[in-house]
Amino acid sequence: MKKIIALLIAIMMLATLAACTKDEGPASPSTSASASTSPSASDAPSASASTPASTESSTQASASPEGSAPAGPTDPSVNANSIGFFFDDVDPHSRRTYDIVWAYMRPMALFLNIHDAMVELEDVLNFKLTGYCANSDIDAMLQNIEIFADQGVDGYIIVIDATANMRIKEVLDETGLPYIGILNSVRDSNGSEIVPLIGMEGFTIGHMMTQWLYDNYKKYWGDIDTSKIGMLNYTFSPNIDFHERHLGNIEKFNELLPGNGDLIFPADGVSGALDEQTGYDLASAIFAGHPEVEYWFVPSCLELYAFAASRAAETLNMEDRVLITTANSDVLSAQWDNGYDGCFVSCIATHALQYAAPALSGLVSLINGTSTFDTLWSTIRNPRDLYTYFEMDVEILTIDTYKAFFDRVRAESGL
Amino acid sequence: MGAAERVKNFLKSKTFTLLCILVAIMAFFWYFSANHSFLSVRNITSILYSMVLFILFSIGVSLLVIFGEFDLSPGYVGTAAGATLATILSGTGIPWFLVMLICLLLGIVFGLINAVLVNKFRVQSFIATLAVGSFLAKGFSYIISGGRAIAIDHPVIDWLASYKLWDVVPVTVIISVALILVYGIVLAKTQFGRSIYLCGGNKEAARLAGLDPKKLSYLLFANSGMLGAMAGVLFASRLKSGNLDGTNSYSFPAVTAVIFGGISFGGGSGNMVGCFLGLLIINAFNNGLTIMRVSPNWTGVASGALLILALTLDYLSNRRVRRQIGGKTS
Repeated sequence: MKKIIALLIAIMMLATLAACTKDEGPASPSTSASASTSPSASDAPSASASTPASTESSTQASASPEGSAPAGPTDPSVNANSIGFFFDDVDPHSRRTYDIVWAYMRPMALFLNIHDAMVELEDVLNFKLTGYCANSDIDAMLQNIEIFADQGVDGYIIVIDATANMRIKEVLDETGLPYIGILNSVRDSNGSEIVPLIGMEGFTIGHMMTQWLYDNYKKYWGDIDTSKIGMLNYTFSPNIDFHERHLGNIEKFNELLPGNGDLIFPADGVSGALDEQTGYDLASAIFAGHPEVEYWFVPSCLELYAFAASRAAETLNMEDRVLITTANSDVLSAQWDNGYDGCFVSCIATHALQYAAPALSGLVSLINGTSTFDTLWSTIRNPRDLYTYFEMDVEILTIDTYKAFFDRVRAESGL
Repeated sequence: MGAAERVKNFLKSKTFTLLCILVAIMAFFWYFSANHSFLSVRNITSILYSMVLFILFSIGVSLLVIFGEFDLSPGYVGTAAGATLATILSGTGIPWFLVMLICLLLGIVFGLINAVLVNKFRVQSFIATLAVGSFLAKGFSYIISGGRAIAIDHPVIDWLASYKLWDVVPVTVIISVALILVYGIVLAKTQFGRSIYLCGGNKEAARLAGLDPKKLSYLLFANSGMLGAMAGVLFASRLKSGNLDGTNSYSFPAVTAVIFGGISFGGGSGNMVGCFLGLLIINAFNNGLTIMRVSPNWTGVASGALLILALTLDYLSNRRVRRQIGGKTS
């Protein structure tokens, strides 16, 4: 009896697996099977008339991420539109379908939205996307990068976790495949960016958030005594990008309210996790423990923390004395869609397409061989960086402006 | 016992059931993977590599579960050991072998704290180890590292992370397989191993038979802590950093593998072969899901189905034993 039940459950499990595999539509084995781990010259498209003559040699160069710039191609991204989308000189439909992996550490709204935006671009750029979430297991991510390479994928778009970024870069380099980072910078000891990356520069974002809170507090609180304004300043210190946002906030706050330095209260999520509960615990303790602060600026490095702070303010009946803003807009825009109008009042706008479009056009051009790590976005590179940190064009949104922003980005994406 | 009887017993055993499941999973993924790459040497190595940390955690937990106790702390202890390794290696001139020894001793200390709570204060092992792991060991990781991931740049750690025998088999795979083999032999063939089973079956009876269950408990908790620390050191070497999330989340999958491998929650039964097969099935299954490009949203469901399968088998097996005992007594 035991064997029969075990066998039945095993069969059911395998049948379910087969069904869900079919639903999710993995890249067709015939396609990926034909793909070599390093794109060879023959994989390159025969190209349209305008394809540079050096495409084949540059393709070879791109097989090594550290490959030097080919003689022929210049930066194909100079023709990028306002959200960073560009075509290189290769017709996507004249070549085989590329097999691209989107890998990230945690199932967060931002990453899931980026996944959906990437899927929208599948037909436009002729690739098949595999989404992979490591569920916070870095070791599993390292192993699966290798497994995907063995399966013949063409390249990665990846959130390189800050706590093991050098090791992740090392493993990516070992695969010999091109990759582009999203969100987290990877810098050497001199502060030079060593991975092509799409993101938001931390200090700038910190300055923007605090400046916005200062410029707009009168609209919400009227003409108040500014000496009573304090700041609950979130960070997640192991992540250098998040922490730079935090430092940028402090710098700007001290500049705008020089006498209020004692009213800055850091809230470091390292004591918990990158989740809402951690944000709530920190905010409720700080709000409740400092009655000397009458008005609170809350600039957050992470949307979930910002949302948690709004819940804490609501619970403590201080919504009319708290102003919250954050980087990224996936959580708040969804809340606004559902009618939210609390003290979480603004966010730095990022449409998922702003991450997906430049990352995919860049990766496809790396796979095509029309650019290398060195030439990609070279015209906009900060001189201190080895490879380009592609800074997204961001602005601060409120409930009155967010829909127009998302409509504009979508219109400019060409979708 | 004749050969026919032995074959008959084997066909009735949990090991045979596990082998059947393993073969079914292997065959399925082999057939459906691109170019049948699931059973390529590289991928099999990859599966074994993914088992390394779980093997270390599972050995310690297995012995305790057979003994009739439970340990949820080794994942956190591993993180603490990894953070300690990174902090000391990067900030002092202490030789690497001493640093590793300190890490193992740290694991033993956490294990002994567990044992004291269980034996002296009569705290249930589930609660005691959860508290020691998720508060003491986790807090220790943050304190010693200052709340930062600390990079490790050391040739021995590089070697540990990347050396492959014949350019194929990672050295950590060899270490872990050797360990489970040694522990398997100790458990099955020695007086010490038999005393673990005896205590797991009935502690009072074991005490009356002249054994010292408390002493054994101290040994097994310390051993589990040490193996957790060893896993943490290997994890830190793989990442080349002392990571604050580290191996925290590894305890439950290790317990899943232990139960899946036929080691009963009730204590007194199970072996290292089952534990190894359980780990192999779970890791091969996860590897196959990745190869098949199954959405990560589904992998959790699939792993849950595996756990349910394990618990169902455990329940059915226990019921059969209870019925047999009931039949004999009546």
